[in-house]
Amino acid sequence: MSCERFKTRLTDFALGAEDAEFGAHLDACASCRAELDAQRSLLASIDRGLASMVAGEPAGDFAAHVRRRIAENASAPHPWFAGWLPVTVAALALIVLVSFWMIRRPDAPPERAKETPSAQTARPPREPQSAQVTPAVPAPSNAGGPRTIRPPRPPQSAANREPEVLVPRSEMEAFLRFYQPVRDGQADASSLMARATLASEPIRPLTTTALEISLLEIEPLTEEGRQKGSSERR
Amino acid sequence: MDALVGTYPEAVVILDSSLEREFEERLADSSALAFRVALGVLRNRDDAEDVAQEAFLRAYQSFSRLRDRDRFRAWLVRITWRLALDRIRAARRREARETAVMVQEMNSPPRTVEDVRAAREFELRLARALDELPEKLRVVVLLGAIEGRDTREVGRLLDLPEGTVKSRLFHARKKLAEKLQ
Repeated sequence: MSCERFKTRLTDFALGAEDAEFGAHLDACASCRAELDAQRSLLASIDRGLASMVAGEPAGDFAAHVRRRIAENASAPHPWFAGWLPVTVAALALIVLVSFWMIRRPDAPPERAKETPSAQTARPPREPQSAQVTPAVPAPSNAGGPRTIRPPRPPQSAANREPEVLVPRSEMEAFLRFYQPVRDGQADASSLMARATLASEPIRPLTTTALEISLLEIEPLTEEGRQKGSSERR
Repeated sequence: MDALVGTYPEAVVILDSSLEREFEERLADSSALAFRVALGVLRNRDDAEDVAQEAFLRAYQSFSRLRDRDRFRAWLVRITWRLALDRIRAARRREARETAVMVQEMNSPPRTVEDVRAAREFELRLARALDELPEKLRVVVLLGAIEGRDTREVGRLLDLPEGTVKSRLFHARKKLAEKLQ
């Protein structure tokens, strides 16, 4: 019964821990003495095993090998830039990163660069395609007047940017229907043009006709008309 | 410990004649220490020699800063330990680690076949238990074995107070005993 109480303290005692109570128990308990002997024997085996693991001397020519390696290291070609290699690598990495950043953001306005990811996600979703058609100039009073259509811009470099085109308001919807597949790469512009030419009558070149302006006819005023005019002024 | 091991690229160092002489002295009196530390980790003589030589090569390159004998030995132990661990990791990656057990070098060699088998089994279990120890306990227990459990010397080598070394040695041996019950 009491032996169970000492079980956990047996290894500590075998390792040299002070334990007067357990020492007194050992005097009266042969079983614990035997167990302590076994534990000490195990520890001795461990110590012997550890000692055998690290036992041994290096070979007789160990020092000669070390000297040879030192000599080899000294005679090995060390390019003058070897010490600068980490710095060079870091600098190149920086250049690549900066170049990449500049290529990716040629058109980005400065405000956008300051936007936080949360601000970007908080932005309302893009309006549908038709809503992107906005007038570049104030809309004229007549509904049929020409309007500037800005096709939606895919991310492109400045050199590749699409031109702005003027489309009459009444033809805007048709234009967008035509433009959409071309922009998405679903149709080729030239083939669409060819098809349009076949479907309708051939496109004739624009002709200009001179305006006919008839001469103004001015009738001389009569005496009655002159008097009427002066009374109105008064 | 890691900070002491430079990996890139070694500059060509040529010591003057007085430093060369000092280095030769350190090489003579510390080569067994480096070899045994490497052997304790690698358990393979060839690998241990190679790692110990590499450690001396590194020591040569920093020798002008490490002339003090005690500092040199402590530094040598650390760099050897780290190089040996690196070697083990590389070997494990290649799955070609040798687990040579030096049963024949036991202090009291077993006589019968059963004894040989039992001793080999015990050595393998001990090696496995040692590998499972935390690094700070493992280095203390191996240096303790190398230095004949001279805790003061182990403390000097690891730059630890002697009380800490004793405590770690106690816990390391206890853990090993528990694993090998």
